[in-house]
Amino acid sequence: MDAITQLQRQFVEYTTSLYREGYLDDQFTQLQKLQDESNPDFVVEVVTLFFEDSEKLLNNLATALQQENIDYKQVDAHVHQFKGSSSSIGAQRVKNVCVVFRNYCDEKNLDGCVLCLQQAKNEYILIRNKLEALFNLEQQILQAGGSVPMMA
Amino acid sequence: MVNVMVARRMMRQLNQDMDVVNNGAEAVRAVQSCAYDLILMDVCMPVMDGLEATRLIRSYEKTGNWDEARKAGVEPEPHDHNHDSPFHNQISRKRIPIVAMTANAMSESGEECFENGMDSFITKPVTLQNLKQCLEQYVE
Repeated sequence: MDAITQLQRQFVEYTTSLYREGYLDDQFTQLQKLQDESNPDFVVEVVTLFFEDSEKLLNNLATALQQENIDYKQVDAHVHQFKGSSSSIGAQRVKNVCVVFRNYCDEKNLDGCVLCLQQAKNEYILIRNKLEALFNLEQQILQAGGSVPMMA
Repeated sequence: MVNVMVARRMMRQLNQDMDVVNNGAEAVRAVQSCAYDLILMDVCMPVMDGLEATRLIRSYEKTGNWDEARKAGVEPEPHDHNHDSPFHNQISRKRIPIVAMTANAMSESGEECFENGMDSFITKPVTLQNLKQCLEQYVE
């Protein structure tokens, strides 16, 4: 088996595992469908924006939850935005944490909020590493002269 | 923002032009100054939410003036062509379809969207499929 075929197989297996383990959902497939010759880097561009957005929001959340008088409306607004951006790229596990996080905001439950922030951070780092690994594989395939397999 | 970038790209793929604004007040201002075939309205937004923005736009369509919007602090710019002069009223008071984009949360119910004058709603995150259906239904 040549190097390209091996990389392509690895790519398919890795992508499949991300869906199977719930890191990604169908919305990520939507993004891939929006990528074409006129927008060859669309997925990387959106996901990069998601990374920048997430890091800003996680910082804002950490600050907001450290205040003496916590403005839960503000916290909820950040989480709402995080839920929107994560669901837009199909980062399912981040989105799921945000759903729980919003409930704790409603209840003004500080312990719950702090726990969710930690979970959101963890899930974000996980999906970031996984997506970076995926893009890395893509680059390797392209550099070897192969084409990236289309996932249905 | 990530969801705007995705929606923009989808609309481009569907061969549609789109203006993007950041909140309900800006949405009302956009309608005051430009003619649109369709509005995709977020419900939960800072400054002014989508429900209030929709009510103000519907009030204009019904009365031909932006009095309700003025009361809410959204003053039309003097040069705007949808300004409430008798002449412009004739051409610009067509009812614009407004489709809510809801986050599928308890706080954003479809019922509330209809009560405030929206025509239908789609659940976020938007997909190419539901945007396409929306355009087919409301835009010729």
